[in-house]
Amino acid sequence: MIGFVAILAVISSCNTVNIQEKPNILFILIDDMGWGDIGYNSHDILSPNLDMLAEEGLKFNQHYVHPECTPTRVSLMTGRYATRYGVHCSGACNEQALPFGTETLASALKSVGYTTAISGKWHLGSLPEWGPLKYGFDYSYGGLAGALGMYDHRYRLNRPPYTRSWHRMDEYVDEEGHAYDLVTDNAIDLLENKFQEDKPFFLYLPYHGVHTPLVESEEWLEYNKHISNPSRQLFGAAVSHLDHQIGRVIEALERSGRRENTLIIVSSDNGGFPNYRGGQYPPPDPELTNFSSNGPLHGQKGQPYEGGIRVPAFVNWPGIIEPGMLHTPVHVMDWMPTLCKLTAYEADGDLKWDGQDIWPYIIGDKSEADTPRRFYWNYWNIRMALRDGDWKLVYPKENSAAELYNLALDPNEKDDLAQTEPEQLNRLINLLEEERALDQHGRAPWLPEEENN
Amino acid sequence: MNMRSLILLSIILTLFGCSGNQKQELKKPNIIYIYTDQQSASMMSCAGNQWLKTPAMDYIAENGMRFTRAYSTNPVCSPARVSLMTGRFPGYFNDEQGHQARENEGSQNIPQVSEEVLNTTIASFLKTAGYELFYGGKDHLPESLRPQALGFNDFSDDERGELAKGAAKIIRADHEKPWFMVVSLINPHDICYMAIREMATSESAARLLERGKVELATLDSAMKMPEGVSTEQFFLTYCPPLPPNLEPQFEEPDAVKSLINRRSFRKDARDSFTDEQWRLHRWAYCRLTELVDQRVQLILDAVKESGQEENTLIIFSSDHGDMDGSHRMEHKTALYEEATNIPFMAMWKGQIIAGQVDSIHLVSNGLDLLPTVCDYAGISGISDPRGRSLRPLLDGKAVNWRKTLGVESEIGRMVVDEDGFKYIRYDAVGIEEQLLYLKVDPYETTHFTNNPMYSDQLKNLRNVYDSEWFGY
Repeated sequence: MIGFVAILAVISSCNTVNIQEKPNILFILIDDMGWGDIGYNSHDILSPNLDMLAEEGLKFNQHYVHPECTPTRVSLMTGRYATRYGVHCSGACNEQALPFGTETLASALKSVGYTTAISGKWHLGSLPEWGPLKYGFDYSYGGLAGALGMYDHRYRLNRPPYTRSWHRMDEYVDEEGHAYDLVTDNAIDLLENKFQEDKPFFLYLPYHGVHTPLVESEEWLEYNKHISNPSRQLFGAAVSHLDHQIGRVIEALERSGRRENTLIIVSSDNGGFPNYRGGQYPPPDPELTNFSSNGPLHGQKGQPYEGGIRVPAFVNWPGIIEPGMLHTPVHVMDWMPTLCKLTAYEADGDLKWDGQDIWPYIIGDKSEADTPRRFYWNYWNIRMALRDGDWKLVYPKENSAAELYNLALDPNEKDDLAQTEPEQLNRLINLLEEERALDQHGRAPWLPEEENN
Repeated sequence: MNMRSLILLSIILTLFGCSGNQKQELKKPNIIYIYTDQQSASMMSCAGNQWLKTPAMDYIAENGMRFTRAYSTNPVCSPARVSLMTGRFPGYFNDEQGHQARENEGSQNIPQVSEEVLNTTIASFLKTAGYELFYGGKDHLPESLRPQALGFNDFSDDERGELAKGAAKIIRADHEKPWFMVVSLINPHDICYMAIREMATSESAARLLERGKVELATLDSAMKMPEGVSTEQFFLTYCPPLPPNLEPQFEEPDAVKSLINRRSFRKDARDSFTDEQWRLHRWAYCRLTELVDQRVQLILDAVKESGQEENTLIIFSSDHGDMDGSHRMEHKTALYEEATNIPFMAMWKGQIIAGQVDSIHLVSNGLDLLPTVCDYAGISGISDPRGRSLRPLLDGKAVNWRKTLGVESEIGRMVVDEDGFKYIRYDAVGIEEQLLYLKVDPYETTHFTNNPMYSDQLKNLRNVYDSEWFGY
């Protein structure tokens, strides 16, 4: 027994030492991957690298995001609900999401000695003048806008001024290759050639996949030939391809000798979007039917039902984080406070975080884990939701009646209790209004006036 | 050669004006230098600013050439004016204490300048070239460089409407000799008084206000909202928005902080101006620029109505800009683009290519004005050898131009290069280096000093700073 206690003490003191050394941080954000679109949650998808990382790491059973790309990225970068910056941030957006001078996860980490890099999809302002270098990144590369063609890297067929989108160091470049591969090659170059050994790094890897359009080679289609629905087969090929590239990044990290002091975080940015009409990119851009899956969860991308906002996510840091599953609900906005605490960053003034430090949950300090959390979702001021403890209020569409669910008993949102639980309903409606009152109202002051179409 | 091809050849010769000695045959033009005070390069509608209308300035741009990359030698009134007269950096001179005259007080107290300087002023050169000299308006210069001391006919102490009328009178008059005239207009400088007044807590601010009756009255009328418009409507559609770089730069240098802390109204403006106050500042700055544009119009009208547009070179610039809310600052002195990047335009009907915008070549109004006007006056004028005549650029010729340009200030000095890299060495609070990259970060929200991607540019500009610009 004494020996066991001694070992525990050694382990925990090791943790402290490592943490004081400031860990490297690799944050992989996957685009449009639904609950049922990762190997470990699915019966047909093959993602062996992700599965292995998740298996030796801590999976999140309830990792919340916003129901679309931009707001999730706003919350990740700021620790706040996206609508705190204005309704323009509440859904996919090409305008300048955040004002210059915003303290972001990147600028905060940079200020405590990190080299900061983004390789992949920015989507917080789709012109180079609003690019990542202005928000605390030392290195930037990838697509500025949200949904790029895989080989032409353009934003849809033609959508000026955002059509051109591929950049390096916030300057447009033209390069050949599949977006997943280019982003990966660049990440490996950063790990092998750019990051200094004596400085911790923050590598943010928001992949352009597995968002549509999907363009995959015969090799990955063949690998997924067990899937009979051609749409799902193409999607499976994209996941396997992306998974393979993530595997290459992990290998490069291991080769660099920095693996054991690197915290890896993986999440999707929103739920899956099962049907896609195609024809928005150079061919092949086929119509896709039931290609993406949110598993048993109700709803999809763009909706505040669980299927739109509860996504595959896990952390991996062998030796520090015990493998397992965390059931406590967390939110993508928690990463900024968590990583800031972990790296001993101290804000100059109040950053008005909505998120909180979840590190105690992650390393299994149960003392705080049972405090009920409250979360709020707002999509264009039309679709909204609020979760308080186990209760969840949903306004699924414009002017619709409020719905009420008890997620502990009904995680898949099948039984609307709005009629039978009027007290809870009113309580949550009031809480939602309290949250909305804290948002930026009207047009954000740094945006130009809206054009009258 | 048959007759037909001879005719053709003569037509070609006429069209392209390649009779070898045409330059000598040209009459020396009259030259007007219109010099506003505190006007950033962006403060003209021809520069794409939709929040003000500057038809007079736009007229010069449409009928001449506008340089977008023109800089002040030192972004404060008095130092910049030392350059206007001498073609040299103010830091070339020492003040009475023997310190480089890089700030306002020091450069107003430069002791008697040397013979070498006196023989190479803009006035001295133009007198040699046979020009009659006129100067009207604000001078703000040390005794030995004041207009009268240098031989200018100092025709107006007024800095506003009367000055423009006086200038117009001179333009319309008959002259025996070619003439050079500086019209030094005060506005939009009255914008300075907004923060001074609203944040007046110090004695010196109180003294400034006591003296500034005209300035305050002008500012008051500039700050008025349009009649019949509600406050809400005013801020919704009339008033300029906040600048994109409202917040202080990432890792703002201590030198900038010290500059702000040195004068209480600057600090108070940063700490307590509301969004509405900053926007009102931007509104008033626009109105004051429009006011000075009306004065410029009087001058242009006089040139046009007296039929002298084809015999008059008009050059337009300003001594420096105003921060106008960027990085939560107002006033000047900082090395950010808002303060250092100034308008520079030149028109001469029939001679300078009309409607051209030059966004490539780096221009220094302080270093280049002297050699440029001398060139047009038919003589070679050199004081600081780094100054260049802009005439080849205005003639549309391909020339080997400077790749970098130096700018100094009270709190440090900088070198900007043609690719948009900007190296600053602040020296107000110890030495602080920064590398900015205007092409990627035009609003100067951050810096790239420690970024390995740009370590070559940093090294190169650091070297250029010492070897070509500020080695003294």
